[in-house]
Amino acid sequence: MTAAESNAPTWLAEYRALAQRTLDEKSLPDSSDRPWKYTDVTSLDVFELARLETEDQAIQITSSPDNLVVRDLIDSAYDPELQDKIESNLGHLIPANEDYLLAANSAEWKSGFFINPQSDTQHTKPLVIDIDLSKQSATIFPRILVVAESNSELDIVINSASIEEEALIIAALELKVKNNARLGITFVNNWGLDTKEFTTLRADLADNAALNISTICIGGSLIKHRYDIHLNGKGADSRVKGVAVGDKAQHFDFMTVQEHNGPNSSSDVEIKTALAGESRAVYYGITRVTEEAKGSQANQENRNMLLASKAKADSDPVLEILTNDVSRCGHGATVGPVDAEGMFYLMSRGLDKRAALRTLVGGFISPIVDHLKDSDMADEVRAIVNNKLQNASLD
Amino acid sequence: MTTVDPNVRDTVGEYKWGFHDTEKPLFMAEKGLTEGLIREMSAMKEEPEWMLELRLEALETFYKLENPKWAGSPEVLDAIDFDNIHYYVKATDTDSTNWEDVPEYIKDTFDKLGIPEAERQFLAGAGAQYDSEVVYHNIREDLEAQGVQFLGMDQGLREHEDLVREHFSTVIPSGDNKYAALNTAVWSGGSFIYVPPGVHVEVPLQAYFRINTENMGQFERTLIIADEGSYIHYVEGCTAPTYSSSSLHSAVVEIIVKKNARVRYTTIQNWSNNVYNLVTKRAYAYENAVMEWVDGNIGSKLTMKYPSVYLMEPGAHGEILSLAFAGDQQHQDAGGKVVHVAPDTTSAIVSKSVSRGSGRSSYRGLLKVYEGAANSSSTVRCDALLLDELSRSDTYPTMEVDEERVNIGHEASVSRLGEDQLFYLMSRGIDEESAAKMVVNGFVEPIVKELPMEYAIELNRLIELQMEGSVG
Repeated sequence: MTAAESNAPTWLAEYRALAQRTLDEKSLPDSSDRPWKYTDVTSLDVFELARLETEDQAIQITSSPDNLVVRDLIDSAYDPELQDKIESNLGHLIPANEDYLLAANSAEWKSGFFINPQSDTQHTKPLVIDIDLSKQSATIFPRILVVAESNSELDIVINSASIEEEALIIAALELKVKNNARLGITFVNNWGLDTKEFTTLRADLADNAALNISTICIGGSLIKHRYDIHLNGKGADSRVKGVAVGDKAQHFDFMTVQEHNGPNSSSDVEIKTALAGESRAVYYGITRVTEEAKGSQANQENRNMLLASKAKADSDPVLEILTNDVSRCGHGATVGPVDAEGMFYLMSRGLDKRAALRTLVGGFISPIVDHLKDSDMADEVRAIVNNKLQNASLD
Repeated sequence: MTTVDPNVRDTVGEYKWGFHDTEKPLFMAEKGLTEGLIREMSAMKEEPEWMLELRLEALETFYKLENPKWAGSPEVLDAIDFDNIHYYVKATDTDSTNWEDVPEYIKDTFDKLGIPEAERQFLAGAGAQYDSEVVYHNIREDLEAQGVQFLGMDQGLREHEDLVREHFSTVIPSGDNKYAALNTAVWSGGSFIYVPPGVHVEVPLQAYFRINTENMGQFERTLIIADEGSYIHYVEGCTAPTYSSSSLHSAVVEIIVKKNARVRYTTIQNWSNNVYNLVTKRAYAYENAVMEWVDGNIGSKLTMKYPSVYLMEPGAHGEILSLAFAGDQQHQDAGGKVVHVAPDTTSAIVSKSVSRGSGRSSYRGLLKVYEGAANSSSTVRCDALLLDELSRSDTYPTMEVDEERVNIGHEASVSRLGEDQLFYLMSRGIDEESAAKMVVNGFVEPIVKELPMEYAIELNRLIELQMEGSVG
C-alpha cells in the first residue's frame, strides 16, 4: 500500500494487501511456464530501479475527446460516485494474485486511468495517452481500466518513449466492452534501447462488442505483450494486428489468447515481424472455441521475416476447437528470409540494397500499418521503420 | 479362446479383434516394477552385462522423470497405475522361423488376424510379437542371402551384439522422456533390422504386435539400421483384446538411415480402446538419406506419439504423414517432429485427423531449424475434421527457427463435415451414413494412398467401422 492510501476504502486496502502477499510468496515465472518458454525473466529485479516521486509527467493524457469520462484511477477509487464502479471492475479480469508481475503491478500502481465511455456515445477523436520516461531511469506500473458502456465507441492511443538508459514498465489493462460497444487500442512503442516492457491486456467482450488492437513495436530491449480476449457475448469480434521491427539483441514476445465462449463470435490475429541483427521474435497464440461458441470463426497468422543470419523466430499458434459447429478456424505461420527475387528486381531497377529492403519490409508490414486509423500516425510509423532499417545491422 | 464380455463391449464399443486367449503363459512376472524383476528378465534372456546396466540406469531415470507438463490429457495419463502392470509375460519359449512351431493357440490368434496369409501374399518377411516376446519371424531366403537381417530384438542382441551396442539408445537416450526410460528398463521383443549397403528390399517387411494379457505392459524395442544406399519399407500393425482394465504399450523405435539410404516406416495402430499407447519413435537421416513415417492411429484410449526425423547431414529429407481417427472417449495426441541440423535439408509434415463423438484429436508438432542449417525448407499442413458437436480438435505446431536462409511454413484448418458435400451426395441417392463415410474417406485419401494396397483397403475398412452409426 502506498502512503497516500492510508485512509483507502477497505476493498482497495485488501486488494493491495493481496498483491503484496503474492509478491512475497511467488517468484518470477521460468521457462517451464509455457508463456515464458522463450523469454527468460528469472533474473529480472522488478524493484531494482528507482520509482518516480510523481508519475504525473510519466503517464499523461495529451489529447482527449470532448465529454469523455476519463479520470485518474486512484482519485476514482476514492470518489464516492465512481467508487462502486471501480470496485466492481478493478482486479476482476486481472486478479492481484495471478502471477508475480501482475501482483507487482497491482501492489505498486499509483498512476493510471479509469476510462468510461458512456452509453450511446460515439467519440470520433481518439484519447491519446503518452507514457514518457525520457528524462530519468525508472520503473513505472501503469494501470488502465476501461469500462465501455453499451453502444459506445472510443479509440485509445498509447504512445511510449524512454531514455537510452535502463527503464522498466510493467503495465496492466482491464477492458470491459459491453453490448454493441466498440473499443480500439493502439500501442506505438518507440522505447529507448535499454527499456524492458511487460504489458498484460485482458478484455471481456459482451454481445456484439468489438475490440481492435494495433501494436507497433520498434524500441526496447525486451518487450512482452500479452492480450487475453474473452469473446463472451454472441457476435463478439476481436482483431489483433501487430508489427515488430527488431535489430541488435532486441527480443519481442507476443502472446494472444482468443477464448470464444459466445456463439457466432469471430477473432482475427495477424502478427508480422521483420528481424535484423540478433533480434528475436516469439509468438504464442491460443485460439480456443468452446462448446457454447457455435458458428464461430477464428484466424491466426504469424509471419516472420529474417533479415540477418543471427535473427530468430519461434512461433506456436495453437488451436483448441471443442465443437464441430465452427464456420472456419485456421492458422498459418511462416519464417523465411527476404524474398530474393523481389530484392533482385528492385535492385535491377536501380535501388540500393537498403532501399530495396525498406521497400519489401514496408510492403510486408503494410496490411498492419495501413490499418492504423490515423493516417499521420501511419506516416510517422513508416518513417520510423524506414529509419530503423536504414541503420539496422544486416550481414 | 473366449469371446468378449458383453458388458465390456458396451463400454468400449465394437472391436473385431477384442477376443483373447485363456492359455496360461509360460512365465508371467508379478505385477509391479522392481530392480529384481529387471535382473530376472535380463538373466532369463541371458543378456550381456552392459545391457543389464543400461536397464538399471534407465529404471532410476524412470523413477526420477515425471509425466510431461504439456500432456493434453494429464488426468488420463496420471491414471496409469505402474504397480498394476505385468511388465513381462512370456507365452512360449520359441522364437521360430517356422510357422508350424508356433504354439497352436497363438497361431490361431495370428491366423484370425490374417498374418500368415498376408505374409504369403505380399510380404518379404514377417514377425509376430505376442505379449513380451517375439514368437515368430521369417524373411525371404533371397533377402537373407543378401545379408538382410530381420530378427526379434532379443535375438538381434545375441547375434549382432556389436551392432546393437553401437546404436542402441543412441537415437533415443533413456532420459529423453519417462516412457523411453521405462521402455529401456523393461524392453522385450521388437525387431532388429539391418540392411546392407546397396540392398533394396522392394516388398515390405511386417511386424505384428499383439497384447493378450490383461493389465499387461508391452515394451517392444525396434532398431533399424539402413546402410548406405539401401531401401526398406517396414510395416507394423497392432491389436489387443478388449478388457475392462487398461494395458500399456510403450515402444521405442530407433532408426539410422545412412548416406543415400531410404527407410519408410508404416504403422497401422488399432489397439483396443483400453490401451495406453505411449511411443517414442525417432530417426537420424544422414547425407541425402530419406526417412518417411506413415503413421495411422485408429485405436487406443490415449495415444501420445510424435515420430521424429533428425536431418543430420546435407541433402537429407524427412517426411511424416500422420492420420488419426479419434472415436468416442479416445484421445489421439499425435503429430511429428523434424529437426533440421544440417544445411540443404528438406521436410514435409501432413497431418489429417478426424474426431467423432466425444473423441479428441490433437496435432502436436515441432519444427526446429538450428543456426547453420541454411537453405532448409519445410512445410507443415494440418487439417482436422470434426464430426460431432462433442468432438474436439487441437493444433500445437511449435516452430523454432534460428537460421535466416530458410523457408518454413505451417498451415492448419479445422472444419466440420460439410453440409453441402453431404447434400450433394445425398441428392445423388446416397444415404447419409454412406455419404459421410465417403467424405471422410476422401479427406484421408492423401495419406491412405501412400500405403501398400492391402493396408489401404484395411485402413479404409477400419475407418468405415469407426464411422458405423455416426450419423443420426
